[in-house]
Amino acid sequence: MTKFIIRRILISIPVLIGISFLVFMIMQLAPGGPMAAFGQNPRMTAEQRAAIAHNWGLDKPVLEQYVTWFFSMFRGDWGTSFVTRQPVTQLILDRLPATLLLMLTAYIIQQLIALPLGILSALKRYSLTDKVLTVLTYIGFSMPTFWLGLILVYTFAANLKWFPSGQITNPRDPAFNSATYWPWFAANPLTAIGSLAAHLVLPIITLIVVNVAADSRYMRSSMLETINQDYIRTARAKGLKEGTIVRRHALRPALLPVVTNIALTLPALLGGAVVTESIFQWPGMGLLFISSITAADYPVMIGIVFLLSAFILVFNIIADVTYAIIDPRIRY
Amino acid sequence: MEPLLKVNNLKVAFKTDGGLVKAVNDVNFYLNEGETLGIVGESGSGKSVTSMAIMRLLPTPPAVIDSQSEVLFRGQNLLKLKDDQMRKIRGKEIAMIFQDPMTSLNPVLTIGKQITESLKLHMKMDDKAANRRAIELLKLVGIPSAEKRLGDYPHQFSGGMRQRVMIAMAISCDPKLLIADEPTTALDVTIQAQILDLLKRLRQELGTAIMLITHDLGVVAGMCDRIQVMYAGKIVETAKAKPLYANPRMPYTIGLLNSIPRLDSEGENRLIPIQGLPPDMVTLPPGCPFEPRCAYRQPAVCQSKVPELREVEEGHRAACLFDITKETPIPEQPAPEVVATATDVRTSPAG
Ligand SMILES: Nc1ncnc2c1ncn2[C@@H]1O[C@H](COP(=O)(O)OP(=O)(O)O)[C@@H](O)[C@H]1O
Ligand code: SF4
Ligand SMILES: [Mg+2]
Repeated sequence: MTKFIIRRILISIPVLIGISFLVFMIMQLAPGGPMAAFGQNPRMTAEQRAAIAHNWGLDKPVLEQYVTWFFSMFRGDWGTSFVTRQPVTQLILDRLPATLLLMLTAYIIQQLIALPLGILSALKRYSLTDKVLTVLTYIGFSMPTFWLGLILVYTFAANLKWFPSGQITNPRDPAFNSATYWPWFAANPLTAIGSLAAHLVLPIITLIVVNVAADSRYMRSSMLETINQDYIRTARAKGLKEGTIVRRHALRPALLPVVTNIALTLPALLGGAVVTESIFQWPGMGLLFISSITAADYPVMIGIVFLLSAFILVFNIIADVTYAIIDPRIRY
Repeated sequence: MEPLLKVNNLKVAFKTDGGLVKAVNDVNFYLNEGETLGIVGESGSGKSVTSMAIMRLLPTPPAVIDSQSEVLFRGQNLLKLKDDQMRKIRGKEIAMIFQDPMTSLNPVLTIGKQITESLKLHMKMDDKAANRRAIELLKLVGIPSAEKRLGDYPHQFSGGMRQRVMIAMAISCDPKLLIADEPTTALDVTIQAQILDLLKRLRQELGTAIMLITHDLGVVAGMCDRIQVMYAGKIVETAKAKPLYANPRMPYTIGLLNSIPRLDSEGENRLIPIQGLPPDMVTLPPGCPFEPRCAYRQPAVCQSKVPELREVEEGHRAACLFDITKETPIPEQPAPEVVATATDVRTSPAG
C-alpha cells in the first residue's frame, strides 16, 4: 500500500509541472500580460516600463522566464504583490485560515447531511420521505448560490437579525488571524468560538445547499444500485437483519463510486468560495483572488491558481488511495 | 408422513407499468425430507419467483402474493410468519444457492467473513469456532488449501470455485432444505458436472432435501427423485424422474425432451426446438397456455378450456386435455397465419 501511495505521488509530480506551465502560459496570454497593472498608469513612461520589465526578467524568452519562475516557486519564493508589495506567500497564508475554516466545516457538515440523506432516500425508495427529499433536492440543486446567499442575508441577517450579515468577527473584536486575534481568542475562547460559529452559519448554508442536493442524489442512486445486487439477495437469504445487510454488505460497495466524488468536492468548494466569500465579505482567499483579478495583480493570481491546482491534485491522490482501501479488487 | 415442504395455491403477481405480470399461477407441490425435486421450465416460467416466494425474498411491492397461498414448512405457514421468525428460517432451515456465482458473493468481503457470518448468526459460534467450521466446510466442498483461502476475496476465485463457496455458505448451518436456483447455468459444461456431483455427494452425506431449479432437463436427469415441469407460472407435468423421461404426457415436456441432445439418439431423432415464444404473462390466454406452440393442439377445444393437472398414471400428473404420449402422431396443423387470424377473430369485440 505504501508503495502504491508513493507511486501515486510520483506520478503526480509531472502533472503538477504541467499544470504550472499551463497556469504560467495562460497568464502570459492574458490581455496586457504581466505588465497589465502598469499599462493604465499615465505617469509611467515607456522607458520606466521597459526598465521594470528588464528588472523582472520579462524581456527574456518566455520559456526561460517559466523555468526561472518555476524554480523560485519551488524554493518558496512566490513573488511580491504588485499592489501591497507584500510577499505572495505571506498574503496567502494570512487568508488561508479563514478559507480553510469555512471550507472544512462546510465540507464536513455537507457529507454528514448528504450521505445519510441519500442512503435513507434509497432504503425508503418511493416512500413519502423519499418523495419529499427528491423534491427538496431538486429545489436545492437549482438554487443559484449567489441568489441564495443574498436571500439568506436579507432574511436572517437584515430582517430577523439572527445571524451577522457578513465578516468573520464582530467589528469590536480583533480582526481574524491578526496579531491581536489569537491572544484574544485564548483569553475568551467561548466568546470567540461562539462568534465564529454565528458568522459561519449563513456562508456554510450558502456553500452547501447545491452540493448537499447533488451529493445526496449521487449517494441515493449508488445505494439503490447496490441494494439491487445479487449479493444483497444472498445476504438476505442468510437471514441477516436489514440493518446488518445495509451496514456490512451494502455500505462499502455503495460508497465506492461516491468516494471520488467526496474527495473532489473539497477543492470544488474552494472554487465556490469566490462567490460565497464575496457575498459575506469573508476575509479568505476567494476575496483575495477577486481583488487580485481586479487589480491585475499577477503574482497573487498565479499563486492562488497554482495552490488550488495542487489542492485538486492532492485530493485526487486521496480519492485514489481511499478507493484502493475500500475496494479489494483494486490491485496496487 | 407430513412432507417437509408443502406449497398450496401459490399465486404471485407483479405490479408493473405494463400491467399485472402473473408470474406464478396457482402452484401446488410438496417435497419430502431428504428428497430431491427438480423444477424445470423455460426462462420466465416462474421458477425463481416460486423459490423466492418460499424464502419470502420477493420485494412487496411490486410482488403481490395471493392471501390464499400457503407455504407450509414442517407444517408452519411461512407466509404468515413475522419478519424476525422468518429470518430464523432463512439460512438456517432453508438455504439458497443462486445462478451467478460471479455476482452472488459480496466483492468487498472476504469469503471467510461471508461464510462465518451465518455460523455466528444462527449457530451462535464465536470467531474461532466459526473459522474452524468454515475451513471444514471449504474442505467439504472441495476447495484446496482451505485454511489459506479464508482471507481471500471472491475475485480471487474462479467461477466454479465461487459456486463451491456459495454451496459451503448454504450448507453451513445444516439446512433441512436447499434451494438451488440454476446453480450450474452460468458455468462451463465440465464445471457444471463437477458442481452437480458435489451436490449429489452432499445430499448423501448430509441428507438435505434439495429443490433443484433448472431450465435444462439434461441437468436434473441423473440427480432428481421427482421432477415437475413449469410453464407460464403453472406446473404442467409432474412425475418421478424415470417415468417423466420415459413417458412424458404433456406436449410441452415432450417438446423439451426432443430439444435436448441425447446420447442414445439415432440419426433421424434430431433436435427439434419448440417453436414460438412463451405467452405474455400480463394477458394469459384463456385456455391452455401452451396452445399457441403446441404441436397437438385442437384450437377449438384448447383455446377455451384450461387443462387442470390430472393424474394420467399413478404418481404421474399432466395438464393436457388429451391423453398424449410420445407415440401420438402429430396432427396436420393449419398454417401459423391462420392461427393468428383465428385468435384475432376470437378476441375482437365483434367475435
Ligand atoms: N421484479 C419483477 N417485476 C416484474 N416482473 C417480474 C419480476 N420478477 C420476475 N418477474 C416476471 O415473472 C416471470 C417469472 O420469472 P422467473 O420466476 O424469474 O422465471 P424463471 O423461471 O426464469 O426463473 C417472468 O415473466 C418475469 O418477467
Ligand atoms: S391442452 Fe391442447 S394445447 Fe394444451 S397441451 Fe394439451 S393439446 Fe396442447
Ligand atoms: Mg430464474
